[in-house]
Formats: sequence, structure tokens, C-alpha cells
Amino acid sequence: MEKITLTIDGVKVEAQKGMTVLQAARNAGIYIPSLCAHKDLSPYGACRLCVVEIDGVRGTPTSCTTPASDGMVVRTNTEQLNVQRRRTLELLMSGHTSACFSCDSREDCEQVKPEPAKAGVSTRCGTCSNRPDCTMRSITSGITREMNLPHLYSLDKIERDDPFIDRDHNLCVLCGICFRTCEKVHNGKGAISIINRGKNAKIASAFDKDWNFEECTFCGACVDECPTGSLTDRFSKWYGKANKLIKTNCELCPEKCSLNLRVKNTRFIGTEKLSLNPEDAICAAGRFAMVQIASTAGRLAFPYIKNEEAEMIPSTFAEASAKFAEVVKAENENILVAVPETASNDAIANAKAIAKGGDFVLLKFDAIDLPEEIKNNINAGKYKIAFVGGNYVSAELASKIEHLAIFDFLKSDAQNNAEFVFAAALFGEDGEAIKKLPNQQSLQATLSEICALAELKPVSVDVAYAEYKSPKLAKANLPVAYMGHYIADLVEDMKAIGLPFTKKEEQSSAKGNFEVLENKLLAPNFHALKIKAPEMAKYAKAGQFAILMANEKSERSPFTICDWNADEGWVQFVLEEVGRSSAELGRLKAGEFLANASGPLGTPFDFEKFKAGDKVLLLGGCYGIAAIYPVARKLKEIGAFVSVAIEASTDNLLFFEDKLSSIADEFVVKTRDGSKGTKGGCSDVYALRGSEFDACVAIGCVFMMKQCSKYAESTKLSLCALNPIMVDGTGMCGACRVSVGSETKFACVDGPFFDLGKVDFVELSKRRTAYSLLEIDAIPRHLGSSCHK
Amino acid sequence: MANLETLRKSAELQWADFTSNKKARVMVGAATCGLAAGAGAVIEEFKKQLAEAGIADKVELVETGCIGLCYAEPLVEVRSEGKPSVLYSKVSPSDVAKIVSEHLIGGSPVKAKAEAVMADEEFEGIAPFKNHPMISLQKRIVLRNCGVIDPTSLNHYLARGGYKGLERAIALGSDGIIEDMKLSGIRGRGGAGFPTGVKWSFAKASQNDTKYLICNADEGDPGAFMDRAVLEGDPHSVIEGMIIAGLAIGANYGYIYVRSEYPLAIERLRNAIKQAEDVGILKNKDGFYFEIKIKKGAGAFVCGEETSLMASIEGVRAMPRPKPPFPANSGLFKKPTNINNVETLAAVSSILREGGAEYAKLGTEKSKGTKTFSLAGKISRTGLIEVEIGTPLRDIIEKIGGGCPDGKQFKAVQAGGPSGGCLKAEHLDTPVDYESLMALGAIIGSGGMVVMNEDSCMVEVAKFFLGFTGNESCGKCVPCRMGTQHALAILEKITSGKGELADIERLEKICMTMKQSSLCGLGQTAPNPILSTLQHFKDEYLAHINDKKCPAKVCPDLVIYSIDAEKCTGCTMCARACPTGAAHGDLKKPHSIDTEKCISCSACFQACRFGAVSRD
Repeated sequence: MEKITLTIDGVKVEAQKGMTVLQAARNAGIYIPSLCAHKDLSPYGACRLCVVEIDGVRGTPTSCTTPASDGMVVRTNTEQLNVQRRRTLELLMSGHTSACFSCDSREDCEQVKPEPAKAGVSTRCGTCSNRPDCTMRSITSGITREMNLPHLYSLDKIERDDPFIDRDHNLCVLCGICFRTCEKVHNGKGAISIINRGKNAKIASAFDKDWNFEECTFCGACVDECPTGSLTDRFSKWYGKANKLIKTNCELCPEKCSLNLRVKNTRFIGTEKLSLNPEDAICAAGRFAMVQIASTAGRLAFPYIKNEEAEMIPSTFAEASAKFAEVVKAENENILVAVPETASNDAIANAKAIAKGGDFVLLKFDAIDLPEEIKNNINAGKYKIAFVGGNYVSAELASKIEHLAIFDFLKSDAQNNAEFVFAAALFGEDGEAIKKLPNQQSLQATLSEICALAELKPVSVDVAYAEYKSPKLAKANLPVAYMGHYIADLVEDMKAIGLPFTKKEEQSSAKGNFEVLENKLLAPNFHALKIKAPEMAKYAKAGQFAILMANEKSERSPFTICDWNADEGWVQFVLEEVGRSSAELGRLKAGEFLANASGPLGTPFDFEKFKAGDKVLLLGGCYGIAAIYPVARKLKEIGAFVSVAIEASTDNLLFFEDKLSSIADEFVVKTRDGSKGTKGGCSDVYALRGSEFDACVAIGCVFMMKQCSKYAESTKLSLCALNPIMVDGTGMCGACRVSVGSETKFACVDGPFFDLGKVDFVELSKRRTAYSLLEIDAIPRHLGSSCHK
Repeated sequence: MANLETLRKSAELQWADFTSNKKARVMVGAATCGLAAGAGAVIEEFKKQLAEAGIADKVELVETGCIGLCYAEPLVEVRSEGKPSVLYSKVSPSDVAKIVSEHLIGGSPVKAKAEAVMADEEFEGIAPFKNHPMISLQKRIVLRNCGVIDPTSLNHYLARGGYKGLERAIALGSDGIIEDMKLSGIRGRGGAGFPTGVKWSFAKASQNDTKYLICNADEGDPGAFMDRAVLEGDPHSVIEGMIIAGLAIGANYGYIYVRSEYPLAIERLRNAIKQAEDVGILKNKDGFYFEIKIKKGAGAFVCGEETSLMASIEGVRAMPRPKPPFPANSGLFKKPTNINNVETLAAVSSILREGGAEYAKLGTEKSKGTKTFSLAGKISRTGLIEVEIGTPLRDIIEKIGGGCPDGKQFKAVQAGGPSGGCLKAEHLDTPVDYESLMALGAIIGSGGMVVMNEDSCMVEVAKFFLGFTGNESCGKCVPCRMGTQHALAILEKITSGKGELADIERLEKICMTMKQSSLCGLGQTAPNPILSTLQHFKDEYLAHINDKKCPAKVCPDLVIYSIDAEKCTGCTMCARACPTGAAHGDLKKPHSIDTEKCISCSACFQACRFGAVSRD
């Protein structure tokens, strides 16, 4: 390769001919900010951040598109360039939900709220799955945090018309990496592109069709490369970015594509292609199904052995394999071993050895049944011993084999009639990097252990795969079954792309008792839910809450009663989608029913402490805007001077402005990005004017209340309403314990109102995030189009 | 092509027959402009009247292209046997009977409708066409055949010297053509003004077995219709220019990228290409082989940008791509490609026919030749003109265009469409050439000239163009996509009376970012209408911002309509014109306007014949 020399920022730098100026600079360790340049894609030149000055070249060319040439003199860091970059970045970020970028309290906020809320729409970094690893932020941090332009995104709903990908156009900056990746992976014939022009331009399929269309193979490459979080893998987005990649082979079909397992700590969170080359492309099953198969609920955790009473007793891998090996040792004929052809060569060699003089069957990779001939043999009682490497035998057949070992990862009826059940470790789970349970073993490990214990030598077998068509870049050829299970039974979304599944009768869930009268979207992710609950309405008092459950499997979550009418028998809650249960509540439509609503709970707000003429400052942030409403209303009735300040990250997350401004004597709006009212938060109002007031009540997220608590001493009385994790809401479980001063309190019965200055917010924040990983696991795998469009 | 001489001979005979006044003839301007003005109905009426008068076989009825007097459409040339042709303007079907009976049968022209006579001498008191105020100052090279020949006739083109340029080009050879082009000094007429000869030399130098020559006929500037007139009125001149260009750079394949909004142009081009193929001018297997394909555009302004245009021909989304590589090295289908605009290619055929030196005699030192302009907006004689480069703006606006109609005060002219800038009254004596206009913040561009008068709000004008470029931005690069949206939002804020002084600075910052950082010409030039109006009409911005007033009384939010009870006669015209019921009142009693309901659409203002409606 021909070497050239150029001067970048006064430094002589060597580069190879054919490199762009950006590549030459990066090669030499000189940083030029850029977003749309991608190492594996051809130059595009859209983000305009990588502009440079080059002697003899007019204007400020983009370094990503300019070929480096010998003797070139380049400047990357002049005042002019910095101004240009800053302004371009401001333009860029005005189209991205960037409210948090310019927030002065961002770092403090993220210490208190280490995990983003798992909300429906990404309205800011605090609700963005990309937050922990955001390209936009790293680029911004080097240029500017000043955002002086009004935002131009609309906080539209996320598009979810396909089975696997969440498409949030509010985050998209049209860097084009996704569709260029798609074109590259699909040999120039991409399925997606930019459609429309000007402000309506967006990434879409041709004519904005549903993404579950013919040309899209769901290889997931676009999702993997998206730097903004606008295209995300619905299943694994909230787990964040992998910190380890393990190269392995897919075992769903004979293609055995090489791919990377994405591992976070010791958890298998997904798969991705090795590179953008078409030959490294993977299919929808490899990209989206593998991890979901491995994460299927009800995985076998350990082997079982049948005891004399014909009960299946949990065992260990060592015991089960030793006992089965004993059985194998005793028999030379009449043995059946059936494993899928996609098993590793070693596994097959061991399997063949175990079969000894009996029958060894290599099953087609997508078989869900044994061959007819073998079934006939079983029915005829031919086999005394059998090892079946998957869910291939029915309960009836299983009962006809004296010593049957079933190797599987899920429980099945047939297993009740077997003598041994081995718990399978799948995909890369037997490696070091992915945590598995100690008694789960891969097929290979299981078979080789049995083989060794039975003192057998592996017999090498040439595997000739039955005819199959590669699913690579061809959605029609996707594997339909794995280890005798229909993939679509395990990964429900696979049904949407036409894979077969076992039809099950739908279980109708019991109708709940609390009818939804109205569910109104106040702002993205914020719902005003009005339900019929005459008893609750009769006893509700300002400041109380209720525990709601959308269905009988929902988590029990507390929500402030923000309005009620005893005569009409309804109560209203404002809830923010932050995870599974709140999302389920948010999706209820008028006429549907909640499984449960228990309340009013908690100690009502103590209005006794207030009298006419008292000056009270009420601070509400996010959902707290609704929670302060009943307090403000009652204080006004008493005759207090009510000053209300509300805050949100950005203007379109504000709500209840009319309601609150009509009762408040003073009304202030604060936004973190300055898009409405003044820039900042409620704590700024408290800091500035706290001393004018007799009392202050702050309700909002933990961070907002923590910030306000700094000024708690400026008023005689200062209160906050806490929202820790709760289970029963009646003081029994202790989940909601909080430290207030030197005391431990239960928020559900002692609260929710506590002394703002005394609450240990750091502890509260830690307790609230203790289950964050489980919260991600709980997010329903199948958020199909019907419920979340 | 050996038979070109023979063809021309018979063509000349046909042309002599066509131009001689032996036979009575009716020739109707049936380009898109004429058709839009109602030429279709006029043609039908002539057919009917001629038939009824029983002279249909004696009078030839011909359709022709646009002669450029758009304000006077439909234009009809009528000649009775042995007499010169008379050009009638604004002919409606109801005029036809009279023209047939008085002129074609009676032999005396209908003077009230006559615009000019198509002869060198006065005829029956009608002045000759060459002395027509819109024509006398023009120098028609590109437009020389438009409205003169039948555009569907190859013979007419041949007889008027058509394909002589190609013959000379073949004799000169590739290098000779490029030399001659350099000598002519012609600069690209599509907007950027890059010397065409130099451009061709790049494409020629690029080595490849396949090269392409593209004719850019994606004319998209609002108010620009030069290319359409040439394609509709003289399609062979473009084809000839393309073959010459192909010969010069060594390309055997040509594409005409024409917007699908020009169906007639496409039809005429198809016809002309077929004719040229039939006689072996195109797809000539014995000599220089050249073939032309027509690619219909999908209606995006950005397709006028050369790299987007090529992407569109390739069948992918039209988005500009960065240069380098330049099209001359890697263009259409990654092959060396040369792109020229319609007008340039039409001029090429004339340049090669007459010689580059002859062409270079016209124009200024740095800008040679002639340029077509389309005059639109608040100007008396809207239409298509061609003048020598360097003609003072005043000649174009006042002498050729006849100034603003209804005695209104000229305010500005937007030169160069949405990429250009405005020139105001004090610039009227500027010679119209590339450098002079550039110095004033405007450009020649493709030749659109939209005239504004005292009733035009310059902030509104800037808003209109930004709305256009914002909608047409392909969305690829950040400064253009986001910049147009922000700039438009600020302009909307200003015209709705919510502007603040800081907005001007914000606008300037956004405009600078777009200019410096955008990927292609669309984004780089999109802020020009703002910068130019800010430069020349800052006072109007300030009036909107500081006084909350629109000096031109255009911006609805800043204008209040009222009725002067003294002047109002109660004629109810305003109430009938009002779409919202704001203007109301009883017959013969003074009317009034309900400001709550008023949307400031100005319908009442225009309807009132007594000057009773006032706006402030």
C-alpha cells in the first residue's frame, strides 16, 4: 500500500493512499467529531460535523468524504470550524429528544437515577434505552452542551408494526447508517431507506409499509449499528450494550452461521452478526430468536431421576449421568439414541458410541417428531434404553421405553414418563462467559460424560445434512423448530413472520372489578386513568394513594389519587409508564377492567397544619405535577396563598397547566431545556424564593425531591411525598421502608408525606433500583402491535 | 447521416412553402403556457369556424411553440392568402368567429386584437413584430426557433440551419469542438456558470469505455420556464447539442432527465428523438453512434442537483452525494459523466453552427453570449425572453417587461429563484451578468426573474422561498434539513407578529451554518433569499418585529381590515367576497368587518370598488 504524508494541525502524519482525511486523522490519533461516518460503510457526508480546513480547497469540506493526498495541509480545530460544528450540532440535536443534553443537573440526576425508566417513548435521556452508552452524548460532550434552538421533534409514538424492532423517530437524526448498513448486508438491495422530504423525511420501508415485509429479512444489522437509539431490539434494548462478545456458531439450522453472542456481565442478552459483509449476515432466528429461546420462562434448571415411587426427583448432573451410564453399560443392543443433526461433531460421535449396536438416529434440524419407523419400533417395544436429545417423543411413546433419558431445556409431559431428564445448557451457556446453572449442561457435555462413564469410545460420523435452504438473507427459509420445539412456540413474535406453532386454546382471564372510565394521554408516557371505584371515591382524601393492578399477573404499584368524585363514584390517577405494570395500566382502554385497585391507602395530607393566609409553595415534577393538584386545591379552599411551580424536561411533557394555573395564586413553569417557561427545575424556585413562604411541598422524582431538599430549611415546614417500591401497601411487607432522620418509616402507612429535609434520598434511590434487572426481564417479550401501536 | 444534405434540400422546400404566404394559415401557440391560457379551446373553435365557413381545406391550421409573450397568450398568427401574418394576442374562442370572417374571409385584420405583424414592414397600420417592445431588445439565439417553427417538424429545424452545427462538429473533431466551445466563452446556464468548454475537457480526459452525457431538464425553480419553452418549441436544438457534446467528450449514451410535470416537452422530445433516429442522426451505426433515453423525473427539486439527478436515473433515492469524486470521473453508474442544462445544449448547436468566435462577440468580457430569462410576478409583460448578457436590468424590467402593472411601484426582483437573491430599484442600472449580480447577493441562476412591487412583503417572499426549499430538502444533511425548518419557523414567528430583535441574529446564524456546512447547492443557497432580503430590506423585518406592522400589508396577522362608512355604498360586494362572514351589512347601508371572524385574506379589499375597505 502506497504511503502518503499529510500535515494535520501542524503535525506530519503518515497515511495510506485511498484513506479519507478523517481516516488519516483517526489513524494518527487526531479526533475529529463525526456521527454518520462508519468504518465499514462508504463515505456519506450527512452530519457535517467532521468539517476541516484544507489548504487550497475552498470552504470547509467534510473530512469523511475528502480523500487524503500527499502533502495535504489540514486543520481540524480552528475557531471557524468550532463555531460551524457547534451550530451544526445544535441543529442536529434540535431534532433529537435531547432535553437532558443541555440540562445543568444531568450528572447529578444520573447518579440518583442510574437506570433509565423503561418507558414507551423516549422523551429524553432519562427514558432512553441508549442512555448508558450513547454515541450522541459522546459526540456532544466534545463540542457543546449549549442548545439554543427550539426542539423540532414531536414525541410521536414508537412504531411497532413489526415483530422485533422498536422504531422511535424522535431520536433519529437521519445519519443514514441503518439503511446504508442494510444495503451493504443485502448486496446493495436494501429494504429500508429515507422516505419523504424535508421535515417529513424518515427512515422507512418503501411507501412506509409495515416493516414485516418481504424485503426485510430481520437480520438486525440496522438495529445493531444505529447510534441514536431510534432503532432498537425490542427484546433486549433495556439491557444496554454488551460488554463482551463471544464468537460462536448458531445451532438452529445446518447453516451454522458464525455469530457473536452479546453478553453483559454473565448474562446472554442477544446475538449479532460478525461483520457487515453479506456472508456474515444472520437470519431472523439467529438474530432475534436465539436469545429469547435461551430466556424462555420455565427452563429446566437441573436433571430429574425417577425414583421407585415413579416420582421425578431433582438430581444433579453427576448423579444423573452416572446412573444413566450404568444403564447403558448393561445393554449392547436395543438402544436408541436420537439427536438433531445440528449437534456438534463431538456430540454426534459420542451419541453414536452410546447407541452401540442399537439404532442411532440423526434427526433433521427442524424435526419435531421421531421418524415413523422409529416410532413403530418404540411401539413394538424394541428399545430398552433410549437417549433423546430434544422434545421429540410424546408422553405415550415415552411410557414404552424402560430406561428413557430426555435431554431438553423445557419441561414437557413426556418427561413424566421418562427415567432421566437432563437439563440443557443452550448455545454458548457451557462456556465460561455466560452464567448457567451448575446442573445444566450442553448436549455435547452430557453425551461425552455419559460416554466416558460408560467406558465407550466416540465413533466419528460423517454428517450429511438432509436437504435445506439457507435462511441467510431469505426470510422464507427460516428454521421452524429447535430441539423438537416450534420456535414460534418459544418466541411468540416469530408467528408474525409466518412460522408454524402449536395451537393452544386461549385462556380467558377473569374480568377485573374496576372499570376504566377514561384513559387519556396527557403527555407522552403520562396517562390520566379514571376508574369506577365508588368505595374508594367515598373515603379518598388529598395525599392518599391506591395500589393498582392492570391484570392478575401485574405488579402491585402505588399511584397517587389525584382527583375523585364521591357522588359519581370515580377516582383518577396520573401514571407514568416506567416499566411493565405501569405500561399495562397505560394501555387499558375505557370499558376495560383493572384486576384490582385497593385504596385509599396512606396517611392523608395534614391540612390541620395550615390556615388561611399561609404562604405555601407547591413544587411538582413529572407525575408529581398531578400529585400536587389535590393538595393545591384543598389548600386554596382553606384560604392559603398557593404558589405552584411545575417542571418537566421539555415543554411537551408538561400537563395540567390549565388546571393548576386556574387555582394557583402564582404559577411558574420550568423546563430543563428551556423550551417553555424558564430553564431549570423547581429547586431553583425554592432556592430563590423559599424564604418568602411558610411551607413547601415537593412531589416528583427522587432526584427532583433530593434537589429540593437542599433548601428545606428555608421554610418552616417542608414536605415531600415518597414513592418507594411497595407490595401490599398496608405496612406488612416492609418493602417501602425509608429512612427519615434517624427513624425507619414505612412509606405506605407512615407516609407518603415526610419531612423533606430529613429523608435519606440516596438510600431511597438505591432501594428503588434494586430490582432493575428483574424489571427488564419482566417487560413482556411480546409487545405486539395490537396493544402498543 | 450522409443523406443530411438531401434531407435539408427537401426541408428547405417545405420551409419555403411554409413561410410563403401562398396559402392562408392559422398558427396557434400551443406550448404549455398557451394551452394553460386556453389555446386548446381556441384551436377547437378555429376548426369549427373554418369548417362552418367551408374554408377548412383552404386554411392550414398549425400548432407551434412559445414565442415568449406569455402575458398575451393565447397567441394566434393568422395570415390570409398572399398577405403577411398577423399576431393576435389574448385570443378567446369568442374572438375566433370574427377573425375568421373579417381576416380570413374578408382579408382585413382585426386590429383591436392585433399585437404585431410578422413581417419587416408595417401592415395595415400594425407594427412589425421586431419592433414589439418585448422583442426589440432581445437577441434570440437559443429561442430563435421557438414559436417560429412547427416543433414537431424535423424539416423545419433542418431548413433553419438545424444540424449544421453537428456537421461542423464532426469536421472539427473532439478537440476542435472543445476548443471552439472554450472560444465561445459560454458558461453553464443551469445556475453555477461553470465554463462549458472546460467542463467538457474534464469529461474527455477521463478514460473509460463507457461515458454518459446527461441533459438536465429538471427545471424546478418556481417561476422559471425557459427550459420548458425550448424543449417544447425547439426539441431538436437540444438533441443536436447533446450529440455534439457526446462527440466532444466521447460519450455514446445520453439521458434527458426531464421533470414529469412537463408532459408536452416529453412528448415533443420523444417525437424528435424518433425523427432523428429514423434519419440516422441518432443511433447512427456508420458514423458517430449516439443514443438518447428520456428519464422522467419524480418531481423533486433536489434532482436538479447533478449527483441527485444521477442517483435518480440509477433508480435510487435522489440524494446528493459528496464530491469528489466528480461526475467527470465517476458519475452515472460510476462512469465518467457530463451534465449540461437544456439551455446550454441548445446554445451549443448554435455555437457550433456559427462558430465560437461569433458567439463570443456577444456579452461582457467574462460572461459571453445570451441568456434566457423568464419574467414573472408583478410585471406587465410576463414571458420568456433572451437578451445579450450585460443588458441592464432596467431594460429587462422596464423596457422588455413593461414595468409593474397598474402603475404600482417596482420594489424588487428575485433573480435566480430560491437559490438567488433580490435586487431593488437602485440596482436597476446594473448590467445583468454573472459577476455583477453575484456582487449584489443575487445570481443569474437558471434565469428566473420574479418581480415584486409595493404590494409584496419581502419577509413573506423569504418565507415563501424557505417554505419551498424546506419542503424540497432531501433531508440528508443536517444543516439543510434542520436549518430550513428553523429558519422557516423564525420567519413565521416574525410574520405573525411574535418576532423579537434577537431573531434576526438567530436567522443570520442559521443561514451562515447552512451556507457553510450544507452538502449540496440546495442547502448552501437556500438561505440566500433570507440573506438578500435582510441585506436590502432589513427595514421591513424591523417593521414586523418592532412595530408589529407589515409595510406591504400582506401578513394577515399584522393587518387589520376595516370599512370606511363614509365611502361604503352598501353594495354588498365585500360581504359576498368574504369567505368567513366577517364582512357584513345590509344592502345600501354601510358595511363593517367583524375582526374576530376576519382572517385578513384581503378578499373584501379586492372586491370593493369604492376604496372603502382599508387595511392597516
